[in-house]
Amino acid sequence: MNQDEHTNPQTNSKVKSVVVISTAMLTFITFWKAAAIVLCDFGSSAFYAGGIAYKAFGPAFPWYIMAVSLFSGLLLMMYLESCSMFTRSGVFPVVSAGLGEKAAQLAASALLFDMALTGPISGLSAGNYLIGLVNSTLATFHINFAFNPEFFSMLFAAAVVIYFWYQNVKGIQDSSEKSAKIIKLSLVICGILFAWSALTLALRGTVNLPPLKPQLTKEAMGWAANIPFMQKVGYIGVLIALGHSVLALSGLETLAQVFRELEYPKIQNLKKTSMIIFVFAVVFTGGLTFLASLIIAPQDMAKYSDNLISGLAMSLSGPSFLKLLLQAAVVFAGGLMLCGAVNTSIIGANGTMNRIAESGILTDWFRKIHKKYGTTYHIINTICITQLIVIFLSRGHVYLIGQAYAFGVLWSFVFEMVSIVVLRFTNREQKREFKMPFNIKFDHFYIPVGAIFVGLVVVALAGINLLTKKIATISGVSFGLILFLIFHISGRLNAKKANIMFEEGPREKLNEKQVPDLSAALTNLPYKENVIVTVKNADNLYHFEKVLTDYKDREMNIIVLYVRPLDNWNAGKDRAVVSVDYKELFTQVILKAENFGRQVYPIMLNSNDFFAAAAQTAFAAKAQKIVMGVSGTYGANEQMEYMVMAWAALPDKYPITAEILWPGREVSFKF
Amino acid sequence: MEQEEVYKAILKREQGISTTLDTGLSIPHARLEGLDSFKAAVAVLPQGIKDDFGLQIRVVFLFLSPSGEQYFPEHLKLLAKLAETFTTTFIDEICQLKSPKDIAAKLPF
Repeated sequence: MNQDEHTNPQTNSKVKSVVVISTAMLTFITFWKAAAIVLCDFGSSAFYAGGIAYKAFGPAFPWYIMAVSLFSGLLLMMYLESCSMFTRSGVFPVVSAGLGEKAAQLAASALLFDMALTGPISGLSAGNYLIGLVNSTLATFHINFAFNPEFFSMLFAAAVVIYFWYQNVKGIQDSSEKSAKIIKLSLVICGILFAWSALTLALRGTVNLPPLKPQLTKEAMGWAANIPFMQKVGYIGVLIALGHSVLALSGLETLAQVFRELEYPKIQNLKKTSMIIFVFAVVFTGGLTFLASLIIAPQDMAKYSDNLISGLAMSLSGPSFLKLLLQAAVVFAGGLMLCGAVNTSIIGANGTMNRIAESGILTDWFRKIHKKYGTTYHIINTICITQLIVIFLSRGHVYLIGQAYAFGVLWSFVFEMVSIVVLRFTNREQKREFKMPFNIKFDHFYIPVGAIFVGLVVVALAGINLLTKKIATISGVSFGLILFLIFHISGRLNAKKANIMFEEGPREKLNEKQVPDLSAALTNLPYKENVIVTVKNADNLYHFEKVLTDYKDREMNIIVLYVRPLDNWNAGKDRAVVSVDYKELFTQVILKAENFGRQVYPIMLNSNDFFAAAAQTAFAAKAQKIVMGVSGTYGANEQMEYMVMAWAALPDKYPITAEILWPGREVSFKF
Repeated sequence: MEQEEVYKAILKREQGISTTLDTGLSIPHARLEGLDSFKAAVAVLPQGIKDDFGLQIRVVFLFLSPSGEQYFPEHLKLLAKLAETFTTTFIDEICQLKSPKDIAAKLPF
C-alpha cells in the first residue's frame, strides 16, 4: 500500500470522507496588529474630530479633544476589564450579562448607529482631504478652478463603501497586515508634522495657546439654548464642549471585537494593545489637533475645518511645494486610515450583528453564509446599504454626520460602562485578570470607585448630548428604535430557536468543506510540527485544554480531529453508535481555542474505525503526537492498545507518541 | 491459573473494541494477575472465519500478559509488533505452511 492509499479515502475503507471545518475567527494576531486594526478606526477620527469640534464651539476645541483623548485611557481600562471576563466581548455580551438582553439590544442598536455613521463620516472625510489636495494643487499652479468638495466627497465615500462591501463579502484575508502598514506610515508622517510644527513655532517666536472657554453656538447648544441655567458657560459648558468632542472616541469598540483574535497571552497582549492605542490617541489625535490650532491662522480655520491636518501641513513655515508634498503625504496616510475606518466599521457592525444573531435574536436570514465565500453576506449587505443611504442623505456634509455622530458611541459606552459596574456587584465570583483600578475595600468587598467614576462621566456626557445635539438625538433615537423593533420582531419570529440556543449556549457558524482526501485537508499548515487531538465529547475537552496550555509557546499545528461514526462503527459488541452533536463539539473547541488565543485546525472524518482514522490522520500530517481524552466506555489502557495496533498496521510508519489525558492522570506511550 | 478464569478475561476484553485487524489477524488477549511472563498461542486458519464485522480472520494470535503496570509497555510493544508483522502478505505466507513447527519458525519472536 502506498501513501496515497492511506490518505485517500476513496481507496481506503477506514476513512470514507474528509471535512475541513472552519470559521471566520480562527486566526490570531499580535498585539501590534490588533492595535493597528483599532487605530485605523479609532485613530482616524483625528482627521475630522477637531474640525467638527471647532465648528461647534470655536477655538477652544484642542483642549477638549485632548481631554477626550486622555479620557480614552480610562475607557480602555474598562474595556480591559470587560475583555478579561468575556473572550467574545463587546457591547452585546457585556450588557446582556450586566443589564439583561433588552438593554443589550438597545446598546447594540446605539453601537450599530455609530457604525452606520463611522463608514460615511470616514469616507466623506477621506474625500474632503483628497479634494482639498486637488484644490490646493490647482491653486498652487494658479488654476482658477475648484471642485465642489461635498459632491466629490459624497461620490468618493460611496465608492469606498462599495469597494469594502465587495471585499467583506469575499472575506478579507489578513487585513491586520495592511492596517499595520497604514499605522506605520501615519506615525512617520505624524513625526514629520511634529518636527516641522516645532520648527514653525520656533520661527514664529510666540505661541498663543487657544482659549479654554468654549464659544458655544446656538446650534451647538441645541434644545439647551432654551434652558436659562444651561446657557452659562461653566461646568455645563465644559460638558457640552466635551460632548461635541466625544466623537474622537469612536472606534474603541473595535478593541473588544479584535480581542477574540488576539494571540496568547491574551490579557497581557491586550494591555500592550491598549497602551499603544492610548499613546497614539494622545499624541496623534490630541497632539496633532492641538498643533493645528496653534499653527493654522484663525482666519483659515473655517477653510480647513473639514481637513484640519491638511490645513496644518499647508500652514507650516516653508516653501509651498514642500508643504504641498507634505499635504499629499497627509492625504495619502489619512485617506488610507479613513478608508480603513470604513472597512473596520463594516467588519465591526458585522461582528456585532453576529454576536446578536448568536443569541438567537436574529433570524437565520441574517446569518446566511455566502455559498462561495463563507461570509455573512446578508448582514454585510444591510450594513453597506445603510451606510450608502447615510452618505447620500448627508449630501457630502461631514459636519451634518458629525452632529449626529456621538449619540451611538456615547450610549453604547453608557450601557457598557454601567454593565461593568453592575457586574462588579452581581458577578463578584467571576475571574477577572484585570480590574479597573481605584477600588476601596468596604467590609468584604471592594467598591469600584474608578469604574463608577468612568460610568458617571459617560452618563453625564450622554445626558448633556441628548439636550444639545438635536440631530444626534432625533436620528439616534429613531435609528435605535427601528433597530430595536427589528430585533424584537426577529426575536419573536425566532423565539423557539432562541430558547433552544439560550439553553444550549451559542453555536458557532461553521463552514464545512468536503475535501478529496486527508492531504488536501492538511495543506498550508504554518508549522512543521503537528499534534493530533481527537475530540468526541463537548464536555470532555480536558485533554484539548491541556494541549493548548502545554504547547502555548511552541510552533506546532494543533489539528483537532472528530471521527464521525458510520453505521458499521467498530464500537464493540452490544454497544450502540453514540451520536454526537459535532456542531456543539466544534463550537466548544473553537471557544476554548479563542480563550487561549491559539489557532487550531478542526477536521472531521467519516469512518467506521476511530483508531484507524486517527492513525491515518496522524500519518498524513506527519504528526509527532496523538492526544486523546479518556473514554468512559473502554478505559485508557484499552484505548492505548488499539491506538498502538492501528498505528503499527500502517506501512512506512515512523516513531510517534500517543497520550491519553484526563484530570490528574495520563497514559503516554512512544512507539 | 484456572482455564475458565483466562477464558472469561479474554472474552471480557473482546467485549470492548474488536481486536481483529483488516489484514485478517485477530489478537485476543488479556492482562492477568498472577502471571510473571507473557504467554502466547497461535492458530492459523487458512480457510478463515468471519467476525461480527464481516472481516475474514485467518490468524488468531492469543496472548496473556502480566497485569502489573511495569509490563504494560511490553504488552503494547507486543501488540505493535503483531500488527506490524502480520501484514496480508505475511498471513498469506504462513497460511501456506503445513506444520506448526514451520509456522513457529516463521514468527519473529
